[in-house]
Amino acid sequence: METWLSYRLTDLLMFSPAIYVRLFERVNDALWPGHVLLAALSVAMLVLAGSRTHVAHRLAAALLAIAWGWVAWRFFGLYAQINLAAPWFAVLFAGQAVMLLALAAFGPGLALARPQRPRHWLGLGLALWGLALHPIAWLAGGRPLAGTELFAVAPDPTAIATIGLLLMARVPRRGCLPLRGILLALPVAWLSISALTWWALLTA
Amino acid sequence: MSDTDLSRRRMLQLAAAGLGAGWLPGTFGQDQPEHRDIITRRLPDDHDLPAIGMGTWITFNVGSDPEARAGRTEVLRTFLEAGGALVDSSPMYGSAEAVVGHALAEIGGKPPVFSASKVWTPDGDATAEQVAQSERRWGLEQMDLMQVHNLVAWKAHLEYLLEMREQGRMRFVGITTSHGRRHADIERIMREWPIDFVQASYSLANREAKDRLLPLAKERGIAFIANRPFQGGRLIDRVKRHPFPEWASEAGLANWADYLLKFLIAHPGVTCAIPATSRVEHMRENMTALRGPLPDESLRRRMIEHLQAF
Ligand SMILES: NC(=O)c1ccc[n+]([C@@H]2O[C@H](COP(=O)([O-])OP(=O)(O)OC[C@H]3O[C@@H](n4cnc5c(N)ncnc54)[C@H](OP(=O)(O)O)[C@@H]3O)[C@@H](O)[C@H]2O)c1
Repeated sequence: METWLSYRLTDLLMFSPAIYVRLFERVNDALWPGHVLLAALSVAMLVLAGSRTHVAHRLAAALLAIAWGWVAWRFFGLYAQINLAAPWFAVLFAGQAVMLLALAAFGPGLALARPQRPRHWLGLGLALWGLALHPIAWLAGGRPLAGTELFAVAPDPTAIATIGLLLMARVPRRGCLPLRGILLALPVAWLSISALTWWALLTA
Repeated sequence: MSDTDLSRRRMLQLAAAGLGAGWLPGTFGQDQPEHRDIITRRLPDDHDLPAIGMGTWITFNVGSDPEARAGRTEVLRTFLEAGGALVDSSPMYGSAEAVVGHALAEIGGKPPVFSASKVWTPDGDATAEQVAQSERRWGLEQMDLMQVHNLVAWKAHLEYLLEMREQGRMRFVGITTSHGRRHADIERIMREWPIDFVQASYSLANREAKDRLLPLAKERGIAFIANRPFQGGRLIDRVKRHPFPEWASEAGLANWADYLLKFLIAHPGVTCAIPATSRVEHMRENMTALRGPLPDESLRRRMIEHLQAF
């Protein structure tokens, strides 16, 4: 009995798992039928990133930036109703959007290399996971279709696909600046926060 | 100023504030015949408060989700219909205050709610702003009770809240914690400041408050709110895995929620226990503790021993 006295990390969680899952349903609901446009833009981003022209690479990076900006605004705007920390997460996503825009405007954009090295293959796997498998995995886990987490709508698949694309991309070092590492930092930070949140929700 | 002067002045202010807020001497809605038998506790202003209230942490933080809001409205309606009054919330609970406000508006009329919220900001100058924010979110002209949440910037907030109370801008002022390590500070404030309410964790599995806080509350005439009565749900989940003991049924206890809550409100120092729930059926269970016989000392000991065996 006495062991029950201690507080746990999960005591800090301020919403229930059911309400968190509802968040994804609500954000999808508000977007529908915009999903079709979103899928088209995602495909366009991949085609542009895989093409050979510099302008196309810049456009691809700009589209990825828009995905991050959109999630910052729409998803975290709604999430802020139930989590006082959500505005900080929105800042994180907006920050990544700005960096991707800078990559589009001043850097090489998003130029995918043909997979040769293990890093490229890992990137390809993660990009596929974020863009296509993540929603399917959730469905297989028993989540309702309406609550599917999609790239450019929900933060996790957006971060996973972005990490994949960045690992596949040709991102030259800028002097002593590890550009790829800098661009990977915020998606990795978000995924750590998300993992902690899910862990707390599932063990609460 | 002598103590008697102070309390006479205070009684007059309370009477004025009470009348201003449309209060009549008596209790909250218990003038209705079906609520005559509920267990109440006397407040510092001589009104009676139903001894089971409700919390809103997590359970009422549902944002603008219409489906979830409708569900919480039913939870609050069930609570009020069963004779409950005190609803506890805080700006720390995200959208909970706004969801309570929405539910009160949906229920309509003048729900006999005893509104308890908190000031929770490190900015010692933002007390009035937070009180106004709570009033707005709840849709009330005046809050019944404002508490300094977890003793955050407590001195500045407490001074200001007490001043507001003097001016009749709220009825009661209190402080809260849910950590045993803050009990020494809470105790000091209870001795040195003219507060009306104190809120701390007290459950059958966490009885730390009973040694010092509860006797002190009783001695100083401070109302005591027991928060986390089910230890955030872990305690009730745990006990519900076991069959409800026959001896407890024979003693007039209806179910595990009744068992855990009546144990608390049977303590003479406890004014109100505030379990939180998102479910109507759980609210119904919890509200059974508002009626029926309370366990005496020997039964309370047996209740502890029985749970220790789990
Ligand atoms: N420092 C502070 O000021 C402070 C700190 C802590 C708490 N508080 C206040 O105290 C209130 C109560 O504490 P709490 O919410 O942390 O914990 P609690 O009331 O001890 O437990 C709430 C949990 O118990 C479950 N529950 C309620 N009734 C039940 C029943 N009959 N059968 C089974 N499960 C039941 C609820 O789940 P369901 O939704 O599924 O019913 C919920 O998860 C808070 O809501 C808050 O207002 C204040």
